[in-house]
Amino acid sequence: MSLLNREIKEEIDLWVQKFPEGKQRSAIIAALHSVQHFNNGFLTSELMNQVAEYLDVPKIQVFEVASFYSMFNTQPVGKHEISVCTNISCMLRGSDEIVDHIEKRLQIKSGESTADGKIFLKKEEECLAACTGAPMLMLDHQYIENLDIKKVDEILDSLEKKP
Amino acid sequence: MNQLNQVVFANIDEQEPWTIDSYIASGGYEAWKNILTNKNDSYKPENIIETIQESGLRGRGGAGFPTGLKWSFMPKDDTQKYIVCNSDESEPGTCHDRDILKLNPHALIEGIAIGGYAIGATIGYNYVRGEFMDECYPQIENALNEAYQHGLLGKDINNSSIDFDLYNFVGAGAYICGEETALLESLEGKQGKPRFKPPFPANFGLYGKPTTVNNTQTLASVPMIIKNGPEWFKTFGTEKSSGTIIFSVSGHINKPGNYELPLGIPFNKLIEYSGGILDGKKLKAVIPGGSSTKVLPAHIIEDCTMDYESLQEAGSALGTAAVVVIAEGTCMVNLLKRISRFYFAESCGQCTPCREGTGWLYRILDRITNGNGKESDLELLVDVANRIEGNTICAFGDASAWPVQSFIEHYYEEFEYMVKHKGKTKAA
Amino acid sequence: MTDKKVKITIDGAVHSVDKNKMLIEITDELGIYIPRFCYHEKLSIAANCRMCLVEVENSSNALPACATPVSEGMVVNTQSSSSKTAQESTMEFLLINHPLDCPICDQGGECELQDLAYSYGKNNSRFDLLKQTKPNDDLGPLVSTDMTRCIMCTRCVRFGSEVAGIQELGTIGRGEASTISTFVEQTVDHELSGNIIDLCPVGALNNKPYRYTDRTWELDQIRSISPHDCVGTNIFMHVKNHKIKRIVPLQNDSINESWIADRDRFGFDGIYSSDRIDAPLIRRNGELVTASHEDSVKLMNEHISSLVNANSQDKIAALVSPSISLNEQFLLANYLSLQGIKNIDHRIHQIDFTGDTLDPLFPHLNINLNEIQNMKTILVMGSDLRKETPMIAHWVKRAADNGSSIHFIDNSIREYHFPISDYIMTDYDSITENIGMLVKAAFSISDSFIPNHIEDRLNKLPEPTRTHKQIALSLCNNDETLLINGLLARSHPDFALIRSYINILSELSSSRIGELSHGANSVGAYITGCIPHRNQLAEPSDQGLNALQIASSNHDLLILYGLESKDCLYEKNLIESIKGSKTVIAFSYFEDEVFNEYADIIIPINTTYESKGSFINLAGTLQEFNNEMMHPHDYLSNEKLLSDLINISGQTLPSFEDFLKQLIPFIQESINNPNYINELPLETAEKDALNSLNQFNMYNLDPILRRSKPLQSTKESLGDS
Repeated sequence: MSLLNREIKEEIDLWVQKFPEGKQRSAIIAALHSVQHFNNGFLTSELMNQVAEYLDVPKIQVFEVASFYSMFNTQPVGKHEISVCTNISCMLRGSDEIVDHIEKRLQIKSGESTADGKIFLKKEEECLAACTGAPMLMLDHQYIENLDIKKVDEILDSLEKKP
Repeated sequence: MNQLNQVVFANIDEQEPWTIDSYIASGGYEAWKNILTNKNDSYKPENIIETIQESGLRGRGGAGFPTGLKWSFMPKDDTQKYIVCNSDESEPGTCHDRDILKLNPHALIEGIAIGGYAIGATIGYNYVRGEFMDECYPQIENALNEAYQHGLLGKDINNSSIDFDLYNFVGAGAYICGEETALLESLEGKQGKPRFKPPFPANFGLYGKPTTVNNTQTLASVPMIIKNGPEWFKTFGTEKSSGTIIFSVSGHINKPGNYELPLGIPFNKLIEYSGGILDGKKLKAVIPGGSSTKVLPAHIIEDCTMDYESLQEAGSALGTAAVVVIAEGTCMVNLLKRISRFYFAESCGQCTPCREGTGWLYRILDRITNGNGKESDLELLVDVANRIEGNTICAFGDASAWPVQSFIEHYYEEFEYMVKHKGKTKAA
Repeated sequence: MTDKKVKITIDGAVHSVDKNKMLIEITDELGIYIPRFCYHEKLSIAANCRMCLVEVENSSNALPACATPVSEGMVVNTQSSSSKTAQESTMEFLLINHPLDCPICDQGGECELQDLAYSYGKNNSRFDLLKQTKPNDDLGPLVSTDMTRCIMCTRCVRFGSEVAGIQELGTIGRGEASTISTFVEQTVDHELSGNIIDLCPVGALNNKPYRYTDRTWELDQIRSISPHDCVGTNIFMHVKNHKIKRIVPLQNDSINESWIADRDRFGFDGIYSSDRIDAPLIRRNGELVTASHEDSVKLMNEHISSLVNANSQDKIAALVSPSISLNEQFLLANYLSLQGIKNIDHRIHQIDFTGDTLDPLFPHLNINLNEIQNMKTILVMGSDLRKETPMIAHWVKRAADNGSSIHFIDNSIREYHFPISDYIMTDYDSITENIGMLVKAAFSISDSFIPNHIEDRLNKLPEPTRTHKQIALSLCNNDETLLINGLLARSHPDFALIRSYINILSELSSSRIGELSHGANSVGAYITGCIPHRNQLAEPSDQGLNALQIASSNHDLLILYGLESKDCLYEKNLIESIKGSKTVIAFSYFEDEVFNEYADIIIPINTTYESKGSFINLAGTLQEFNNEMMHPHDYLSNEKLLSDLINISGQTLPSFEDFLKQLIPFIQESINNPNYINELPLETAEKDALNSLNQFNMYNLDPILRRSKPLQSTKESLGDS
């Protein structure tokens, strides 16, 4: 039984068309993004197998990609992903205090998910390219810049209200 | 003469500059249309390459390689060729390509098309970093659709017998994919592990075909250069560093932002534009071109002009023009540790010195900050960095080594202090 | 300076070398050593270990010799301090996380990392932090994993995707955390997978059955030939105390390159099975009792001579294994023919003998194995090629990699890891017809002549499809083309007709033919006369019973040499014959339940792993081996045993040396002037439709493989793919 619904397959098909005939391997990354999004933020072996099958590529090639890129989670994580940028510009503008605050409030460490499965506090080591708006965080890939503790609390408050 | 926002950001103050209508109203796509209609000889591919060479445009992605020269490396035969735009902006401190994708995407599209045409590529890919997927990817994707709808891209565009198709591609979070051959590997659906060179992409690139990879800002600069001519471009900047560049000024600065200014602008003038050091503090150090460039103490950089030559002479580099401002009171040991952690996390793992060495560097710094540093650690750090530099497949190894070498060179007492005082910072 | 050569200076000496080669290839040719880990001459360049960094003038950095093409005027200093510094840096980086496992690591003593650490490493480590560890995968019963030792050279990964054609292992993760893994729980199953054991320069991938048994410096090395298929793969046996401990490849670029199949590597384990017999057994009063060699030989001779003297040679029959050594075949064939016994055969997988009169002198491939990769078109018929002969499948893959078009006619879709041009999938019965249709298609485009009656037969066949025509065109229009006739075809009820078709096709398209044969020495069996219709060196003989007839009737005396009933395609028939024959003499390596119940004399023999002898492979290459040191003291060789039998029978022992002298020119002549079959077999009465063969169990081919514990634990044997 296919775990890939029609919407995912259509999206993958659109991507495959961007590449030359026989080069559908190029669509692996986009396919994994699509599948991960539908699976509430993480990939499973079975989903990756099905991507491999749908794209007609060896499974190991999909595993290699999933394990290499930071945006793919191969273990179950919380539904909403928060990435606080802690690279140099953000560090200079107080990112570490923001991370401490979030860790304390959510009672988890960076890299962990809340017990209710709602929030995943990603350990972000890259620069997110929003340096002029430091400090900042990414909430489900949405950029929220010029943070202070108050703003962070507002973000967490609104997340609490979400299902 | 107005210095700010003259090339890539020339139109961003217009109403909704990212729409095709606004872009065309500002003179956009004029150059591309002239190519399509074969207006005159200056729009032939070899002449376009010459124009770009004349202009002195250098790659804005960090290496500063002359763009026209890079384009001239492509073979002149009939094989399938590709142009690839590197929008994988990930160099710490850099955030100007994001604004290009968001605010002036059509300049990029036109630039890629012109570049593709000039080098004989009929297909282009714009590789956008994964984290941008909601931040500015929708905008560049939207602009691309607009361009197609306006009949500016595709096959036999407007009966010109010119083919050019362009596709956006999304990455998935790996700094190393900003390295051009790693980017090609990623485009091919593999892990982003750099290829050894030779062969160079112009001979063996995407899918093994001749390919040129250029940075977002480089390509976005092309339409204005073609439209206004190389001489116009040279009225900005210096003799060897012509034109403008977008400085991403961040860190301890009052008005962090992206400022497109002529190359060669004195450092202090740039700081002026950006509102001065945060809260009136004293300047301590600057990382002038992204974390891969060597740190410069205040007294050195204050004498520099912001161009390739001056910064190289000072012992650093212009890089991506990501100017990270560091004020007094900042602990340089902790800052270096954060930078080293970045390289440790982002090493692709392919080659021995980088895979093993970046972790070693980070862990030594970690134990220094945790109060367990040894006296021999500082010499060890520099030696390990020296042994990574030059021995790796790609420049990432060098980039991981330079911060360690430069921080310890310029701020030795801070490191020594922390080792002696079991983790206490001198800077406080 | 010609286009092909450039002048370069290495360590002060000027050399004129081939252009377009990498520096390391040149220095290897010149005998100048540059250290390396990831570089391997049979794999693509990775340049990731950074051990081969050398100083090249006019380059600010040291350059990797494996990825630096030589150029005119290049000046290289392999021994300079900057070369050494770069190499020593790499070595230091490799050792910081590498576990100090040498005392418990099997690779110790033959470890490339140890060897280079000796020259390029330090005595003390500057690394005083916690070393990293990696998790281990279970890759199956053949290859062990200790991934903490891995230096990420990726030879194993590249082997998978480039040589095996399927990437089973990948580089998982990024940075320091990267490791080689299958990611999900999965075994590595490719039939050549054991080669990653040799490729791994450290102890990350090792020989699992061999684990913790010996140290490499305690082992003796003996060259030998693998006895499990007709390829004649060259092997090294590593021996201690007269026991084979493990087998590794012996590089032979004309036969097996640097590789051996898993079957060749782990098959030997079977010879140490606990049911190995070491003393003759004679049935007295219904029970098998141990007897002396003299008694058993005397008794056997009595049985035979009583029938010979009564002119009842027809009541004697012998089936011999196709995998025994040439000298054994020679003696056996002579022993029987000298006494007028004609019923001898080795073809226990064949059921169609109507083509016997058309048989070639011996089934062979009339090019060298390594020339297969140069064939522009290859057609494989009736073969589960990867399982029948993994090494030939490898050469066919090489041809495919070179851009050749590969076609199949088969009754099952099998997995091949290279692009296939055409795959005619038909059912078992229709394979013959499809090959005929191909001949018909070739005839219509070829200029060659075929006799009218054959043309008539072809006309009765259905019209060739477009695919048939495509394949025919590919064969006729290319210069170097090859037809491969597999083992499944050989066991087909229409084998003779299939083979005739193939020969006619080769005539029409000027293709070469490769006939795969069962066992290691079918070729030798043909040439020595272990067939009912010829004596040695193709001298004609009176027709005796063929293997199927022998197995399907009862005899006064049935002799079985080196085989068990399980080895025979018509196992049930053979068991009935064993039951029903008056006297059964089994020359066997192992105990066998059928023999235990029904054999009258069981005589132990030595496997080729323990003998002196030779095989002739399908390319007609005679390859000798001498594994006698496997015996701790004086032993009874098969040769002596058979010679004794001949002597007791009163016959004159024929000269093997004389035979050998005639052998080589005989083979040469046959290969140079191949006798293509240009006739169809006479149609005969209906054959018994025996069980149609679909699969080929590659680890169940002979008594030894069947008892190899490692091979019997693989997915292939356990049957869960």
